[in-house]
Amino acid sequence: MNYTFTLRTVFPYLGGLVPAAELTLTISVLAILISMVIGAVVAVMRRSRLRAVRFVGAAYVEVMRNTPLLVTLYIVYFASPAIGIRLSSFTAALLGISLNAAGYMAEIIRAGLIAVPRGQFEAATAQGMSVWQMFRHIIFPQVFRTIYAPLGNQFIAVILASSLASAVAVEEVTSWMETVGANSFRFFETFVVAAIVYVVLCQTINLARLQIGRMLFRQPDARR
Amino acid sequence: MQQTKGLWMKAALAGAALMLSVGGAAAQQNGSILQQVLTRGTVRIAVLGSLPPFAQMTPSGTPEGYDIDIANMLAAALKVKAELIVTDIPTRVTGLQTHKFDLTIADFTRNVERSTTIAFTDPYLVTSMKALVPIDSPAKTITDLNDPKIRVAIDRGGTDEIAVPPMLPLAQLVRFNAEADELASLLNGQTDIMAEDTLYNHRQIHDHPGKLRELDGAFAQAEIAIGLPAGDFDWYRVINLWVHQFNATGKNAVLFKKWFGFDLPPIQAHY
Repeated sequence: MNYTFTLRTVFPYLGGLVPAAELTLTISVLAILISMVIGAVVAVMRRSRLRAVRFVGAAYVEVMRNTPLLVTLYIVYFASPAIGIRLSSFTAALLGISLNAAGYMAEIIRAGLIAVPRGQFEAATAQGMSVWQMFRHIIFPQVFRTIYAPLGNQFIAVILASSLASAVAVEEVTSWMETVGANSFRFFETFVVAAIVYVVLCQTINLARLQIGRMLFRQPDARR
Repeated sequence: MQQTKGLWMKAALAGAALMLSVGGAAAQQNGSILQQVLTRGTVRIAVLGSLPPFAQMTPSGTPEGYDIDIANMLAAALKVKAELIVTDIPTRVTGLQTHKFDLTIADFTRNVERSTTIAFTDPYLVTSMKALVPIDSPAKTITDLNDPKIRVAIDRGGTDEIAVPPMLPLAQLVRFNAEADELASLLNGQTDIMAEDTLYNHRQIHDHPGKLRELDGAFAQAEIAIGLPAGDFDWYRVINLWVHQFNATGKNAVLFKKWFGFDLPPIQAHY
């Protein structure tokens, strides 16, 4: 089969790529932040003294990790209107990706919690700190340092997962790729362009994470 | 001198014969799709999965519908088995370009832009793309909905991508991969209007009583044809002849009535 690879054929469509990349980045960054918050709550629940709370935390993690993100997105966007919740494409995608990523985030944060010695909890309590103060000032800073490197993996996973948002009509990079490919019949070129955009977006987030790590931590090991 | 000339002649003839035989072998190896289909004993036909009554999935997972019956009739005429491949709107074109299937019978609208990369037969149906809206929509005609707040559900890579913006330049386009997703979003109130084949619209209005209606006016006229990979005249010749006879013998009219419940509209454009 002779196929002439000409990126020139996609040039007229590149204008639409900028807002698409912005949308991918927006959804990804927001989903990372939201999933970290939900993940932290679930991770703490999994370490609770109460069995029921531990169960709910574990159940959340298993349900989210054992359902494909695409199915979660379909439930949030197409099925939730049946019970009266009508979300826009953007909100549905953000919610679906955040809920899914929180399952993985919870496990990463839980690993960090386990690494904090028992004595730290006891010392904080002995100082008369409330539970919130203990987590805020003593536990989470240590957790954060332990999990900073594995978080990088998860950040990239979220950016790549955002490509499924096109299934619920979000006009992000994958949507641009499919639409432009279908309109120009130049799928090969649009696939390559989209792949480059994803590499650039992932590396942008990754370099930002490394830079923040340099500002936050003194030990070089924790920075990466 | 005479002898030398004869020798040259012989060499030239031998060379020509060699070239012919090599060319013949190459042609046999790649072959026309027609040859491949007859040798294989199956014809790979792409159909859609969620466009009743053209094609839909039965609960057991096998496709059925007008397009499916056409596929099986065509395969029977070629005396081979039909291998149905369920595809979506964007894949119809790429699948033909990359020879993932031999032809598509998938409510496929022919146009010049598409035919620069794939081939089309003569149409077996002429219909139009109209607007499906919720029953309580305030609009009477399509142009009543030209408003930045209006969200139009369309197929990614379908002809609606070209036909909708000229009539609704202000409205937002919301792109989905399958008609079932478009319809779900319309019924959920996540989109306000859906651009689709009027025959599909009628079926949906019938299947969802009291929920949907169609607006006056059409986005575009659509000549529905069988899609083929470009550059294979033998394959085109056979399939196009079959389409012609399918129309001329009245088999198409019978099949159409079976699935749509009314008579086949005339298969010619109204100029």
